[in-house]
Amino acid sequence: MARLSGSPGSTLAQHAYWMVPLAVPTIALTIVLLALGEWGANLAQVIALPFAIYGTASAIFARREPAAHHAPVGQRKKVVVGAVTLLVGAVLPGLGWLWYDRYTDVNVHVGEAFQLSEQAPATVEPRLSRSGWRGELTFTPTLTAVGSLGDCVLPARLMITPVVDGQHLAVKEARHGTEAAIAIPEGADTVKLQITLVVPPNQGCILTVTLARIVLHRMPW
Amino acid sequence: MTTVGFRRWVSVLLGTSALLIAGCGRSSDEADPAEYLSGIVSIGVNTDLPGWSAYTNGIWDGFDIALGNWLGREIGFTPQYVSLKTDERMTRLTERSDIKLVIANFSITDERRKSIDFVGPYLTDSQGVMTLVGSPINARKDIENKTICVTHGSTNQQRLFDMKIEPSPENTLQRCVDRLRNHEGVDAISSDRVILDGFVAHDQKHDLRVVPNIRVGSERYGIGIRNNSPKLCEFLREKLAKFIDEEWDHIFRDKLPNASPEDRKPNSLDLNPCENPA
Repeated sequence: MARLSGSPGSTLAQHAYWMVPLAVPTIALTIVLLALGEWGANLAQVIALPFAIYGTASAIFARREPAAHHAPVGQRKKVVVGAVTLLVGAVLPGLGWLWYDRYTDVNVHVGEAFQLSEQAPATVEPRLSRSGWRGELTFTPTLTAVGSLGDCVLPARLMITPVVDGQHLAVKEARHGTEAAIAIPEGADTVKLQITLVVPPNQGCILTVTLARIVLHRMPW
Repeated sequence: MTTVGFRRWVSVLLGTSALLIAGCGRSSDEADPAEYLSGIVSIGVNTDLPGWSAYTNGIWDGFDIALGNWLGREIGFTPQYVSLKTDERMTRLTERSDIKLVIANFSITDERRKSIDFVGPYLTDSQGVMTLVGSPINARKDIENKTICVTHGSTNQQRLFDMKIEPSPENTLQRCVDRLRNHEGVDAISSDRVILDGFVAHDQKHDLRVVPNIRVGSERYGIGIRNNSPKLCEFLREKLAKFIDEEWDHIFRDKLPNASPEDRKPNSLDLNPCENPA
């Protein structure tokens, strides 16, 4: 930092040739991570520590470098770096938006918790907060027993039939506290989930069902 | 700063980072199940249930005892059976005590699972009614407005509150049987049918009978363990599946002669999943 602020001939402007190219992708990466939602947060957590270690170590080693290594930057190099910076600055936000629209997770709304028994199946209609259907609809059923005598919550199996544009897809089994994933084909207009309950018999199980952490997960690969 | 000092500084930085990463991982303070169930293991059982866990002349015997003994041989511990009253099955697992397992005709319920964990079921059953031979009680309608003896803290007691009967709770079923035989204001006894079958099977006086047409609800017996013990649950769940496949039939026949195993043996491949703490 001493060279930035104190040494003659070493101004902040002279360091722009590396600071700006570094700042643009950093900001773009931040936007992308924000757009990725929970996945982005996890990714950020994972990469933060090695980046921090590398950054700190680099700063320390850079400080030890002889001053002779900091030769003045040529005009041609400045032009090239400037052009690349502008190009990256213009293209990255566009790519970021495209990524956000096509590949990032989409929040899904299914309304309030609902009650389910062996005699009374339920149908829920998930709605996307934006964009169209494509990817894996993932959620974690959380079950609560209405009565107190039965052994209902843990042995309960939710048999979920996805109905996509009126067509019944393969039944998927889900359990309390375990994430379930249902593949939704691209271009679907309406998606409904018909849910029936399978529990040990003669217990009169009635369960309150919440589909927690429901999201349309759109992996890019 | 010298090169050596500088390198040491970087090493400290990297070392601290590594420790931080390790510290960020979710730690579990649950003991290793094999270590937890080693040496002498206290198991809470019912005391007075013939066919299940009866203590006679210094010897424990019954289905629950056979399960405890089998677990001891399989895992490598020495069971020490501790007699519990029905309502102590919960408290001895929620309060400070030496009890590590409860194998005591302990019905798994969602309500109980808020305070403890269960492994099971190792037997499924329904609630029934036992009377003296010759009693006019033959169907569910016949017990309306009758005095029915049940045990304190049992699911039977709670279920009967929904019916038009006079529940008369006792600490033990043996006490209920004594009152029934002595005509001390009890018309019938209600408990899990398989427990009542045990009484009839070991009834020396031949004056007890289980009413065939009364079946209420469903009871699923599990091994009670302390709350938030997912590792122990998984460990015992695997053992229990082996017990059901290899030992269940002959132990049931041996300990509960004349009782039907039909609809009572659980599917070893469909035991309850273990609960993971939130």
